[in-house]
Amino acid sequence: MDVVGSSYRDRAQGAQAVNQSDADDAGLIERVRAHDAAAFDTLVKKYRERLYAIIYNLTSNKDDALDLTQDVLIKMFQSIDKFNGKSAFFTWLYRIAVNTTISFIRKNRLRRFFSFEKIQEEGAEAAACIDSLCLDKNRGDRSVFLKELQENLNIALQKLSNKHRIVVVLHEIEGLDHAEVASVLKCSEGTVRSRLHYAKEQLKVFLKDYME
Amino acid sequence: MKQNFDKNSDRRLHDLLQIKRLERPREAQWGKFDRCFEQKRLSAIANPKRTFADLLVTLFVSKRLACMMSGICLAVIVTIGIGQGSRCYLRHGDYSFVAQETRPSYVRDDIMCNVENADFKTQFNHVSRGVAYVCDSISSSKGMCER
Repeated sequence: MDVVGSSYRDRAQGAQAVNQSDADDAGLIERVRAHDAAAFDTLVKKYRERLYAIIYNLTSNKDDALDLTQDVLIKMFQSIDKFNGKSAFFTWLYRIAVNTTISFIRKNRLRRFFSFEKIQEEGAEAAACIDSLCLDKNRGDRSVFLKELQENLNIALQKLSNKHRIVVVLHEIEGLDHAEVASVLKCSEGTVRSRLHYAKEQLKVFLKDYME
Repeated sequence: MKQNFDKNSDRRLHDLLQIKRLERPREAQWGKFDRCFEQKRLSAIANPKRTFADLLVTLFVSKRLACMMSGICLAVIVTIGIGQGSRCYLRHGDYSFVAQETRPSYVRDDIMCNVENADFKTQFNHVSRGVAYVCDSISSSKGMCER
């Protein structure tokens, strides 16, 4: 199975779904502004997992990620009147998430530790993804391999500077395209491409044991 | 050849990073999340965080406060203006006053003095740079001071 092809396809489908849901968001936002609690709950349920994923991949700490996701959603609630609709709602929300997380990381840079989520191996997508990485491994070796890989991936990501880690997380892991990442970070697409290139080169060095 | 290597290594790195997409919390965790989040949300509603921007918005959006602030600003400007400008203490019923010019640029051969509601005819002294001026013939809203 062509995992790369399928993941790119998933990314394109994901982006399309986000664009389609933008129109739905506008209605929900209006209702939240009119103090409709049900609309706010809908927005929370829609975005909490994506926000959590971004924050978790930026911090590599699941407890911090849960706390920060809640903080971001509270900030969204408090400042939804300031959303002017010039950008897509999700880019505005992702910007809050990225800024909140970076601010947290800067404040706590001297006392940081990692706690990882379990890798969810269920599902066809997960199986294909894992199989492509450890085709010749038996079940026992496979779980050890995955655990090591997870740890090394997280360590490698944390070795990147904040600005490089953000573009890798948003583009490579969350599947946003360059324009969307640029919109979240309020910078040019060229800057995003340049940071991404540099970050990938660094990651290749950090993960050289897995590159063959 | 190098391009092929780069392409392969890019693809490999992309595959490796896909593992990060599989690191997800269990469904049960969202129940705990919802409970904590509800508490935080209620707390945020009960104790809204006041930022400097919020303060500014409150000041400029609230009509009462805006009127009050305008009044205060106007009073301050008028007070400063009276304190620093030509000191004319002419009120109804006053028939003479001393006007003191403090800045040379204001010294002219003739000085226009605004005298509102001056429907009386009188004379008053005006002193500038030690020179006494005698002002008279004020019978309208403006009067001419002559040396």
